[in-house]
Amino acid sequence: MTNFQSLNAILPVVIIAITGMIVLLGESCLAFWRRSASASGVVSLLGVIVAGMVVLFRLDEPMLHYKAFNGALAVGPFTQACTLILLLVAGLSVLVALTYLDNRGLNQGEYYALLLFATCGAILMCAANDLIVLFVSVELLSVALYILTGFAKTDKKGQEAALKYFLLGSFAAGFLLYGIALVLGGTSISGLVGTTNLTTMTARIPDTPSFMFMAGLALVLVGIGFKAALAPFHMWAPDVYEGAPTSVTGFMATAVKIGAFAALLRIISHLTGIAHFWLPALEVIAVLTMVLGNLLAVTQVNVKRMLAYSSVAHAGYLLIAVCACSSTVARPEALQAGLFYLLAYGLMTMGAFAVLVYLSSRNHDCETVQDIAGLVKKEPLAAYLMAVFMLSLGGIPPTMGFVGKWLLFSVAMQAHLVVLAVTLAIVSMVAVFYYLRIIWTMCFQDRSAETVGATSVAPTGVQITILISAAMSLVLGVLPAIVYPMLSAAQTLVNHL
Amino acid sequence: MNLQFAQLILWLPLLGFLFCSTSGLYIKDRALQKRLTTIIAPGVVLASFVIALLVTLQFGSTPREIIALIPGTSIYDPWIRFGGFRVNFNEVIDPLSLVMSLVVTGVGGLIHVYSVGYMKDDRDYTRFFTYFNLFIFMMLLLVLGDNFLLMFVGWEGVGVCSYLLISFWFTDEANARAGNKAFIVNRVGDLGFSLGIMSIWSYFGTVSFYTPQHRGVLELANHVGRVLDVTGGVVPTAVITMICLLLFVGAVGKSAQIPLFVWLPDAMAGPTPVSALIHAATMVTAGVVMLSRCSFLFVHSAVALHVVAWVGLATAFMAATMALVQTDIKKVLAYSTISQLGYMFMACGVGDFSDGIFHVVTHAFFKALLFLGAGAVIHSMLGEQDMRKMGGLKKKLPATWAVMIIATYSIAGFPLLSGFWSKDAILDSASRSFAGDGTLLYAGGLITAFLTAFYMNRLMWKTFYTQERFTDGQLHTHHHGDSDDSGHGEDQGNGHVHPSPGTMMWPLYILAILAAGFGWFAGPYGPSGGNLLDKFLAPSIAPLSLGGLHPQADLMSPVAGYLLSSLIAIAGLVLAAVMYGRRMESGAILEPAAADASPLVQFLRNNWGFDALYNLIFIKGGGLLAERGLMRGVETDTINAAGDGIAKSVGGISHLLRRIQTGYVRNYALVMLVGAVTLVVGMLVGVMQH
Repeated sequence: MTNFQSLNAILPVVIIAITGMIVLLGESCLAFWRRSASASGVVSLLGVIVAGMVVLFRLDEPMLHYKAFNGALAVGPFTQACTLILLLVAGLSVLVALTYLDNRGLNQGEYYALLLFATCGAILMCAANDLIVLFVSVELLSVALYILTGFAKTDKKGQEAALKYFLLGSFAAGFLLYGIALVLGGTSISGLVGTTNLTTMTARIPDTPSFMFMAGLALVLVGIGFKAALAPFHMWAPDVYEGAPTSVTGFMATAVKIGAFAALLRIISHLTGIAHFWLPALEVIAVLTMVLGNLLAVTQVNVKRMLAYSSVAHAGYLLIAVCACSSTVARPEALQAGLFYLLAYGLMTMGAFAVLVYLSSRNHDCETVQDIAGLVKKEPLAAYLMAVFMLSLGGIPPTMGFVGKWLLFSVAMQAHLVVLAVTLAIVSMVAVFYYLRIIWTMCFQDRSAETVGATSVAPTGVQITILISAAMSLVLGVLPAIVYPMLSAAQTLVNHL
Repeated sequence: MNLQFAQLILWLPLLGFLFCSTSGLYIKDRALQKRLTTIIAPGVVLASFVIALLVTLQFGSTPREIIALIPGTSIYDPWIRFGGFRVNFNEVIDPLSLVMSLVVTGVGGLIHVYSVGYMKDDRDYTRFFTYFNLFIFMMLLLVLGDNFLLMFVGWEGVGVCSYLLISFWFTDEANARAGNKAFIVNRVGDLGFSLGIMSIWSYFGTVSFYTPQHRGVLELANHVGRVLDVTGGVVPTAVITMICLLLFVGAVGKSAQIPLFVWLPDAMAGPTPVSALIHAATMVTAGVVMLSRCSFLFVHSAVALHVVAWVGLATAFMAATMALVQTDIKKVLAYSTISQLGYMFMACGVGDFSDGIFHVVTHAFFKALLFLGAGAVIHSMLGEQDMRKMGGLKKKLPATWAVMIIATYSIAGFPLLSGFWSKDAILDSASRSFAGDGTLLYAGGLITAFLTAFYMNRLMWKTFYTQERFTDGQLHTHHHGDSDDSGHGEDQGNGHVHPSPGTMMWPLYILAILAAGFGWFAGPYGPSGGNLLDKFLAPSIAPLSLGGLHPQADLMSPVAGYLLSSLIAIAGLVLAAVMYGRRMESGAILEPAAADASPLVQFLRNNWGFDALYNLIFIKGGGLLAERGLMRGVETDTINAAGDGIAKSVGGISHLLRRIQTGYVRNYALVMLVGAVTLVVGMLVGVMQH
């Protein structure tokens, strides 16, 4: 591929990046743009939609079976599927922000620019076929998110969260970079220069990998595990999720996880030859993540914090799909299950945070359990839709969460990961407790004085997000076959590697 | 027209349901919501009927077509798959499903229109139509689904709707209890049905009726004398018999046959349109539809067929005797429904599935008409259902009387009316039963026909002809006036009946025409060579010869048969007229005290002791077991204690773990570092061990 062809192949990223720059320039140079409350948001949304269209229209293009930029980026169906999911999440985040920023008087164009740059980073994480590119895209995503976390400049909790996120994120970036260096060293065998390119790397790994390579892999896992909030690298998540503006939390909980897991799935799929070396470690991490996330979520009274722990737990579930990639038989289904769960997780989490945004007012974020007590009487529709998201997160049919969890179970059994399947079953039971408690609080607890109602200035954006998320969660819960073709295309392509 | 339009038959009622169930959330104006419901709820069902009619006219002659209903799947790609288990979400368009779709949407649409008038002052108008639309959708799923699983979904779905509608006026505890009874008794049948489906899956390797590769259950059974499974092996006859009997258990529950009929009389607690639609015209015939759908299996098991025939006859006879002594007008019709369903089962049991369906259709017309007419009577009597307090209503409700007399003569088998043709077809097949017991079946059927004619005319005399046994204050002859405020219960209805609005009367007239003439149209002397329905249904129904069974020779000539059954019907009608004609004043053959004292009447009133028996075994016995044994030993001491213990320990661990989350970055970084070191060391140890 020439450079132009390569750029063309990652056109969605280009479009998003250019949109981000337009928003920045428009905000700083055009007076009418600044006066309008929603110009940046609307332009960003358009950019996301155009990028999404580009992906959709080019699903079958044969060019996309190759690698762009000399093998640094893979642009096949797997990337496309991830890109679509990410663009959906990004679009929904823009809609949520339209309401939230208005509410909080934070209406500034750079929010959208940062959101778009972060989206670029996440998409590139899904496409990265080279560990160095992966590192750069992780940083692109992270730096934008550090700023977004502290976007409410007068909010002390937000500032604290941003600083924590930044410090620990830098720490994790160190692990990742050091790990990449070790991998480079570990792959330089018999006089060849080492490589960070995944495709080349696969060919270089001997049956028993070197110490250096395994140490490098372990550190890379730490770096990505931090982003994906896997235990024991998850401890930043509750504090940061709680402190960040709710609209940012929604984006952070979904986009980062999608990017991190796409990267993890891609790396691990390249290492099936030495599966028995890394599988036990990942299994331990998966069990630990599932158990810790769920147990800690049980006692939370802050909904955002509860959702943070629940996102840790879901990271554990997703790790089952990664582990199942170790078996060549189960790998196609495992990739499909992983992607499906990412989509499901993205929709239901985004929906849940959107409901919280919808219920937040200018000086009060809807956060605690008391805030939503008796909600069903005041805002029945919002309460019902929140119930849909909670049931979906808990894996109750007929929602997407159920189908996703069922797919995870089935790939776990196919790959003979019985321990993981059993753990998933047990912790799912615990999980149902704290999701149902939200529904119980909304429906059966008396309305306290603090129960919030929708006082949003311009609720349209967030309403659209809630409805889209709920509708997709339900429709795809009954008719998951709608997205299967896209996902199964993704699994075949990873086979071509 | 494209065949894909046939999808709409199923989806339109679902859209109606979605609108009715959610409109309260976004339409704040209650009057507007009600107006929209009035248009949409019956509209979707009638539109569905029109589409079904168009599809029938265009595709009725093709043996079968399969279309995929789920976007993203095709008739080849499964909707659910795990391991070797594959289920498609397909719709099968064949004569049987088309006939049933037409009945469900046609009669259903008419009853929807009737209900607009009947329910118009009810507080829960929209809730009623929510359930009604959902019922139509589920019933269509039952008849249109192309595999046992979809049929089962529809089967359970109509069960839920039936439960919801029986206890529609749930503030009255008796109604709620009746709903529970229907639901619980049906569970027994459903257990049999689901075991049957599981057996089919394990022996056949598929649950589809038809597949594009001709590997569906019905296609695998479509061989003379043997049944194959998907791999080509032969399924033994004993297994077929077991499967058929299990399926039959399901049919017995849903279609209220002995011994599971006890729920249907109580189900009359629901609003009268519910009784007409669900507990007479459509849902209760689901068992017959299921047997006909599985005719390819049943013809391979003479034993199963024999059981079906005799359970059918026994039910027909017993229910007819019970109908003789009922004093509640709706209860008479309920027992009559059970009895007529018995006829349909008898038809299936002698291998004449198409005439079973014929009777399903004619019964839908005349029984819906009877119920809707009875509804009009009940309303004009201010909710009184006891026939002992009626009489002389012919003068006051002439239109209702006119349509009900047509329906009564039709069900009684008066010559040339619909019921005559379908019942005679069944009796004729029964007389030629392959098992050689034709004479007995025929005689039993004739006796039941006589009883039917008698109790139906008894109902007419008690209600319409004998002298008035009420004062004017008990009769509601004004319309739209002194209504008590809209509440629950038919007893608070007000003046929708006399004179009834057009929306309530037109459906009755249409049904009356069908109840009178459809039998001729589809019967042996109908247009285009006769036996229209038989010929139309032929591709969906297995011939007896497939299983190596052959009907016996005719017992008598067709004309003699017609004469005999006409004679029996007229004799029954006349006997009732004579006996009640002599007692114009009291409207009762026995004085109340004498009736109460008569052991025979008591025996019949108590359902031949079935209710008492079940009460003793299941309610009392089961209650004792639950209270003495399971509650204390298992529930409280074991399950609750364990549950509480687990919950407490989870909460405790969670509290402990929270302490790790200190909020200090240095602690978080330390945990990360320890984790990273452990991970690296663990991986290296793993490599070292190799």
